[in-house]
Amino acid sequence: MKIKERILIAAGLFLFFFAVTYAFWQEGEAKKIPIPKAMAPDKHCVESGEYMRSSHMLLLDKWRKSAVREGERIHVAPDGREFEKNLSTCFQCHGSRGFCVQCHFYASVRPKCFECHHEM
Amino acid sequence: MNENRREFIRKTGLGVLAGIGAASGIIPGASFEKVAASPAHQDEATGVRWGMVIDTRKCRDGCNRCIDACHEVHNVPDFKGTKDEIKWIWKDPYENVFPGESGQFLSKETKEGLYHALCNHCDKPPCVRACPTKATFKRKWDGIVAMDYHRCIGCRFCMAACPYGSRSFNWRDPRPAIKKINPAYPTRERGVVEKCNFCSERLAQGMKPACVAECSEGALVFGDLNDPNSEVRELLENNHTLQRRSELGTRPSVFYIL
Repeated sequence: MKIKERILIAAGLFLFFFAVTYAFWQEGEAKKIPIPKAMAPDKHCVESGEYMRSSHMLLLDKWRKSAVREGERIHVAPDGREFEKNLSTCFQCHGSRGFCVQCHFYASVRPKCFECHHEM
Repeated sequence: MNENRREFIRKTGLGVLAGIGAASGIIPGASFEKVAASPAHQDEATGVRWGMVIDTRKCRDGCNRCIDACHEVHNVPDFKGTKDEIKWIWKDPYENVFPGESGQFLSKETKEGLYHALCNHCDKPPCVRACPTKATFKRKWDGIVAMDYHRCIGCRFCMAACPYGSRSFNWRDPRPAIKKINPAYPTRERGVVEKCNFCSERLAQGMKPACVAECSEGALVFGDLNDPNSEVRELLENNHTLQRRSELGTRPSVFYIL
């Protein structure tokens, strides 16, 4: 093997490993997880904050099903308070869709609620 | 042919015939002709059944306040006069609204008049049977034929099934064509079918439908068809009324006094 070819192979290998390991060379941290704040943070949500953070989509899905298909439009919170099953109920405390978008953007989730629903 | 074989075929044939005869006598479900009474001529009175009586004698020419009120409340886009038109309640000539009725020797007034058309909220809705996703369904508790826009996939089977043309498809994004958006009611998006919902959102708050509330002439009357003391039943009792295309057996909940 000629020396020229060896250099070429070595250069090729170097480039290959550089490309493969490039991601690990980066310094820095992952993007910060946004923590959106409700406009009325002193109030309690329709369920516990923990449940809402993890399972708000399940609650909204239940609301949609029971309100649209079964006609049960009132949600009773664990402490007995009653809420209308409506996205606008959410925005009374949470302001606007900005609240939703912060995390959804981070998680690359794009629900299509606002193609039809309004932010109030 | 062998004598034995001939005898065998003859006996088997007789056996099969006897079997069929016995089966049709013993098994009652095997009767081949069974005709149920036409569902259009029966009454069923269970629970609430919202309905409407339209007194066309009271409706003024050129007044479209009911239509405007409905379309404003429900964010119905205005693509008027195009193939993309969306309508929940509208007015059409006699021959379009009552295509099954005779047009012979009609009075000039009847012939030239315009009549309201809207979803009939049929008791036997063909659109519900056609919908593959159950996006449109009949509410068991009050008879309204409702739509769950979340589920609609835009196949338009319901539009083909509806004999009244009560359903419209969103060919374009409706939002830019809505003059004044009512924030209390959602809009629809491109690719779903929509129609009159008998103002179920207003009924839930104890209000009458928007068109009925808007009509100052009392031409539109709304109430429970299953309640014998309701205003609609009183009108039905005292007037000759028509349902659109009653011959189809869909049992519409909208009645007309001509």
